[in-house]
Amino acid sequence: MSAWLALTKKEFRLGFPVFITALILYAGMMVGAYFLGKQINHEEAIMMTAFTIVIALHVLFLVFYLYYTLSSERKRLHLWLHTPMSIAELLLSKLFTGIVFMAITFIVSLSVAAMFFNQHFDFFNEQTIFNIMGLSTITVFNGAIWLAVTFVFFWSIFLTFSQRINDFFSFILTFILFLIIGWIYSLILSIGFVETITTWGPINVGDILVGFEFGYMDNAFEANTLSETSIFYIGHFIRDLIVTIIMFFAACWMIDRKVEV
Amino acid sequence: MADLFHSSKPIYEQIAELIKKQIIRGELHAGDKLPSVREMAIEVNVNPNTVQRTYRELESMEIARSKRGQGTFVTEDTEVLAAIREEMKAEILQNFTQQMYEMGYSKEEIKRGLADFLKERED
Amino acid sequence: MIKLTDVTKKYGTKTALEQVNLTLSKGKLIGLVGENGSGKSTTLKLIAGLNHPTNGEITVNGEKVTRKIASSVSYLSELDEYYRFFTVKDAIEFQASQFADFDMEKAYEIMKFMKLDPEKKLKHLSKGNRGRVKIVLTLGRNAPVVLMDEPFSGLDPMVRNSIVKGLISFVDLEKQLILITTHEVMEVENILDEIVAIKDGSIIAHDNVDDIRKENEQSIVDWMTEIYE
Repeated sequence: MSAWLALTKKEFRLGFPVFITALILYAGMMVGAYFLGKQINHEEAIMMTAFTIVIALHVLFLVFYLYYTLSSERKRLHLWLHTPMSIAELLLSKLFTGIVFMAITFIVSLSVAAMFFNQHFDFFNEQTIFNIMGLSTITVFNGAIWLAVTFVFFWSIFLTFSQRINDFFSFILTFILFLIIGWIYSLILSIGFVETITTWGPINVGDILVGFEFGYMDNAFEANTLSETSIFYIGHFIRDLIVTIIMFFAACWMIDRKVEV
Repeated sequence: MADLFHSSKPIYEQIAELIKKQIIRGELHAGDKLPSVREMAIEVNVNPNTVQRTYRELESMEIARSKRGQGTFVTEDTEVLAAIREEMKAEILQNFTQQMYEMGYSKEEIKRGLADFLKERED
Repeated sequence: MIKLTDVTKKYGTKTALEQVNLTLSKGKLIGLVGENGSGKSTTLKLIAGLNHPTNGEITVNGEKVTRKIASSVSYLSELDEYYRFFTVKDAIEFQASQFADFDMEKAYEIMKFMKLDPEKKLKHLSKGNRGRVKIVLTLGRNAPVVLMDEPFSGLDPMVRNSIVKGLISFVDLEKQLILITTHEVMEVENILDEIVAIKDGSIIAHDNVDDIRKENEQSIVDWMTEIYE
């Protein structure tokens, strides 16, 4: 454990430049939006857009972070891989530090946004603001982790290809594989049987906007009448979680067995 | 330091020669402790295993004796030490005379030459 | 200690090692020599579990080699890549945290011997000093097997000499096996026990160096010139 903590401390230092870059980018966007809004007298609309963009950008943070830190590790695989630790531990250390960095900028952005909403809009009650914050947190982190693991999975494939062929062709091949796997995956999801077993446990987002509705099970039949987009299914979440775990361990296996220094 | 040794002769033998010369010159006396294997290795820039082999070699020639837990010592047997001294002398003389004969000098010439040389040195 | 049985390594269609059989025993400083591209680095990476043999088996202490053999193998790469934001001290502490057999006291001793400043960042060090740091990190471990890939390459004679001295002073030959690759045998011939010569992916000789000198009345360099013909 202490070895992993020391490794994680190293990861914080290695990934720090990405954190700073993201922080400057977000702050710049918000400050820029603030002054632009003042200038053209549409402060609220522009700030709202800026907050939405900044919050949404967080979904991409982990991918960018992993791209940076894994690329720098690729130059010194003989160091990164020369350890009795498992690949899962190595990757989790990177994921963990990325999530911590992301959480910091996310909390800051979200707090600034919440403060702004509170001051400028009186048609949202406090509960709704908290609900929106909670919902966006889950959505953003869920999406970010899903994308991050997908990235790690394809990065391992790319690295495996690059053992034999040059980076350009490895990238092309990986990209083609990405399209094929994505297509097959969407086909599988649209099979009636798969859809039936994964589409369960709907959460009505419309309800969330006025207050959490914990009794979603009771409302399952009513939920059907609502538009598809405003409903989350716990079944889908579990499905994505399982796929994420499979991709993560597949990536670990590839790096352990197929990647050479 | 790396040039201390001839590259075509085993290093363990060369270190043994070095120690024998030190004994003859009186830099090492009967019963003196030899440097530890590691000290010696660092001093002459060779692998400790090589020094180990040198010491083993010296032991088998009864020039050195290892005492358990204390190190390796020059033998206290003065007869052996005297014998090395003689042996070394004989070896040098052998080389010298052989070269002289090869060049065609006679026994008398060698004797006279050596006597004159030594006398000149004295003055 | 280290055993390679019928090991073949191919990269695509290129064969790096062909049917190599090699047994190296504990307590020795062994030089793996050969020209560039002869398979030296590959052999070391295979033993370190960082490359995987196409055929054959490798064991260290009877254990089949995988990446996890890192717990008993200390590997020094020929690459000059380390985490450059680390100070010398950070690098030592990080290494200590990653390997249970790391000996902090010994590492600091080697660091002092190499005249390195613990507070200096690696990115501000000269190439020679970065080479020295690698030695500190590698020899700081009391690992049963130490693999060093070209530890002298690109370094000036002063640094080479300090590395040679460091090797003799800090290696524990009662417990460790050191395998060094080099393409210039002159650097190390005085400190080696054994020499393994490799050519085009095959082992062409494996002998005790003093035995070579004694039996052939030749220097190692001359002997090598002869066997490589």
